[in-house]
Amino acid sequence: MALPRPRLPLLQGSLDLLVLSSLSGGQSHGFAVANFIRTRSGGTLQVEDAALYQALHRLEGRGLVSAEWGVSENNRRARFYELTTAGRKRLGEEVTNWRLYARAVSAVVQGV
Amino acid sequence: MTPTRSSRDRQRPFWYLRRRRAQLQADVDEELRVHLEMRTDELVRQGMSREAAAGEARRQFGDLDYTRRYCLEQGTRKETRMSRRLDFSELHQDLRYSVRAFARKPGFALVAILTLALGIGANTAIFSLINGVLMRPVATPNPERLVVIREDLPGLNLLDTPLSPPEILDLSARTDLFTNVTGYQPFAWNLSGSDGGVRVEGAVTVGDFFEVFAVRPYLGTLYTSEHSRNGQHQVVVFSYGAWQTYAGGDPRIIGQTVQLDGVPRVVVGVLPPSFQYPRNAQVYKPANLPPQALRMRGTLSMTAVARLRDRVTLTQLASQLGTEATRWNEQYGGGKALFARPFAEYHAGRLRRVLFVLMGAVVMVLMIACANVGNLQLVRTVSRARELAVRSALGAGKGRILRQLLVESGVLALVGGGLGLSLGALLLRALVRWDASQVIGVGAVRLDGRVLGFTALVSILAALAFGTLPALRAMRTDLQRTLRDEGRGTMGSIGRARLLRGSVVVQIALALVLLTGAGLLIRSLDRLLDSDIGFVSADLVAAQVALPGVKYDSVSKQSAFYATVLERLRTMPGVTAASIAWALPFSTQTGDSNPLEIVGRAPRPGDPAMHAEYRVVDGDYFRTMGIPLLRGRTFEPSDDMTSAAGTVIVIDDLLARQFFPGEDPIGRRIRHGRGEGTVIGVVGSISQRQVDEPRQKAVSYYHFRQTRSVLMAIVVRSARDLGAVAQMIRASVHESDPELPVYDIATMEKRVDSSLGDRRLAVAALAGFAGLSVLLAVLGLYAVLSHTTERRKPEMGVRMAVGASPGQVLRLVMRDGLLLSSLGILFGLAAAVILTRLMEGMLFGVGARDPLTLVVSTALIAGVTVLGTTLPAWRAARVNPLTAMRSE
Repeated sequence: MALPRPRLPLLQGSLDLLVLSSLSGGQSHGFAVANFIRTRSGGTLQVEDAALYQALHRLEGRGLVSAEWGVSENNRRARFYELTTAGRKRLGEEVTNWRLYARAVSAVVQGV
Repeated sequence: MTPTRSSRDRQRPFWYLRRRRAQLQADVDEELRVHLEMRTDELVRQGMSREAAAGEARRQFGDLDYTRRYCLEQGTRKETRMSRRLDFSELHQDLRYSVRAFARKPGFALVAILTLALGIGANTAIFSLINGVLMRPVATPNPERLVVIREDLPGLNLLDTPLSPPEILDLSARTDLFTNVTGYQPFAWNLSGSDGGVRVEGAVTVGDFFEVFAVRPYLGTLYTSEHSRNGQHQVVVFSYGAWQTYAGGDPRIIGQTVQLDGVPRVVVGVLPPSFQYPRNAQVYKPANLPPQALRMRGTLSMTAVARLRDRVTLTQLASQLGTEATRWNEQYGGGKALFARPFAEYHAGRLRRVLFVLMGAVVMVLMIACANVGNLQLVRTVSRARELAVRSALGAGKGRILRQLLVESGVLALVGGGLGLSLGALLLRALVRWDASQVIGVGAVRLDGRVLGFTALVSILAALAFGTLPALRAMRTDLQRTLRDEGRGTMGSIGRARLLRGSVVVQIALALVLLTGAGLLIRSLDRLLDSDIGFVSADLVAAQVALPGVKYDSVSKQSAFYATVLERLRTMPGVTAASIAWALPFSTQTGDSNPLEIVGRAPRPGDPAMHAEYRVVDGDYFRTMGIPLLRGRTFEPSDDMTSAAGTVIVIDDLLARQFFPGEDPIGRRIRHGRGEGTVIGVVGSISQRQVDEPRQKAVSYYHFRQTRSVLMAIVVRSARDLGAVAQMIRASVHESDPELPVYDIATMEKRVDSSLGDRRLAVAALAGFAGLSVLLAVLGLYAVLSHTTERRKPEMGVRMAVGASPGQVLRLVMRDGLLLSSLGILFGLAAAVILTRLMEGMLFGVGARDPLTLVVSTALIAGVTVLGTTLPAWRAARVNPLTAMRSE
């Protein structure tokens, strides 16, 4: 049995970026977003479900995502989130910022 | 996955927000519950027991409770923000839609707006009068805290009299009740300057006159109550108008000396232009109150005005005034009773009742206007049924359509209100110009914030009144069915027809009430104009002259002056008669009422006190005025200071009957206002101040050659016009004394007429409103009949096709219209009989149920409604059966 991969706490402020980018592929409900983040990071990023739903509603409140009820793949009634135009724009900015940030941090760290 | 966006989000009814919070909570709970279920399912698939999986899902989730609240809060915030934006944009949409709808049918909008503007304009004008006359009679803060204090002397049969200066000072000591107290007496002086003399009106005051009215000086300072008592009464304050007129607006007036009746006075201050009280006052002067004047509690000459302390109510004041009067009666005797009246009410006087009746009238006019526009709206919604049905099919909820209809009404009301405000301002200006002589004193009335607020409120109420019913009515119709039936027939419901017809009946009834009210007032005025005032007012001109006491300091000098002037006048061309009088009837001169004694007759205990007014005239006065001599003789020039017979007195018929019943008064001696004298003649009694007041006060006449006569009116009977007679009077006076101002020149007819000013206002306004309401009601009847006959055209076609003659169709429609008119008349008569009773105090010589008035108004209404019925009926009778049926 392989050792479990280390689970990292989330950097401040990056949760919104994660949620927005999970929705960049199209509509998705909360459970799918949670699993998407978990899977994509290979289980490295630990996002608490509570924080995730709070983020979704916060983004909805700011008009970056919109939500409506729909039917899930298992025929369950689920609330589907979707990027709004403003959300798509914000995602672009956030991604650019993140890349700049990550590159800068890596550059500094490589010197060690 | 197929998200089904509910249509709820697109069409929010306006009560949406309230229900929304519960909905949000349910949504959040549902979302989180689904998440936990999905997670549990996943864990079960991985091999956990369902129970353990559920627990693990909860654990992995984290703080569920906090998340719930957090999400709900986020959701609420977003909702509020969005619905605000949405509501606003929808309102904007409704507005644009309304304007477009009106633009498509400008005729409807025009008629509706004009009708409303007339109704709202009438309300605005009358409310402005009420606001100006009743609520703000004088430019002062909190005018409602001002009271006028008067007294009754039942023992002397003197009621509602002014107070004496010492009494006013006693009241001003009651600082527990009043912050300030003042008394004033209207007065007039000859103001002499470089360009001869002018007569100026003003007030002599005691107490804190300017503090009571909280007026601040425009220039200089204002005198205080102290100036009456420390010998500094030789100061005056000018009104702004007097400052402009007599000092050319020169600020150097302060400190200058002017001559009032030949006595020098120093101008200490000028009042702001906003302060105009008492009416026409130009000069204010403190009364001179030496110690002996403070003992004279019988000179009841001053109107007392006081400003109430905060928290002192009128009821408390009444009881405290009772205590005060008791104290006075114990100390000084007199048996007086004090009472207070709100300042505004006291000054509005007879006008108050007039204004309330007019307010009632304009409310009725507005009701008719609203009923009319409501009908128009109703008819319009019918023809718009299809449009509304289409909108509804396209997804507009009932609430949305209802709101759209109300917004349309609101737009009409606001535009109508704006136009009404202008109309009201015009009407007000006409009224003020009409009252140029200030008979009723509406000169200071203007549109202010309160009037604007009133107009806005009336407009909104009107919109609700005429908009709600048609809108709700439209809602009750099945819009879907209308669409299928292509809007034909279905909306012609019985209920709607009943609404239309009911509102026509109400309009006719209200119009009849107004017409009856106006009729009663017209009849009263007619009776008043015909009523006997005891003298012949035609061809009489009167002017006033005041002799300065300094120059004319004896009876002989005074009488010599007047005798010369009269001699001159009598020889002038066109003069039939000329005479002089003090206390001319229907003038600003006021006759005093004084106790009267009959020499040699001791008053029996329990007899009412004898009181009468006295006049000072010359012997030709009765002939000049056209007052009949009933017994004895009038004055001769020989009845002067040197006459052996001493003072002689002429009494009027009323005095003879009151105090010498069954006796011959000639030769009897009486003691009255100007001393003891022998009665030499009896003349007819005359009306003194108002045509409609019963003649109660008896009058005695003294001869000008035997008593003081500084302030006199010159009365001339001549067929020549006012200007010519005025010129003759001026010339005769100035030939004797070029410095004397001749003022208040007017025909007697004008004076008598002016006393009826409030009645003329009431008649003119009420007749105008009645005419307007009749016009609106008939238009309403016409519109409804036209509409219904239009809708019944196919039916008429069928009737005619199966043999009905055009005459029969004509009768059918006529019967319909006349039924409505008869119902309206019936209700109107019932309402008129009840409502006109409120006007009883304004009527003269006619009863509130005057049959002639009722018959004439009914006939008038019946006549015009027949006219309003004939045209639609005639049109219906001309229907071509073929075309009518084909349109089906």
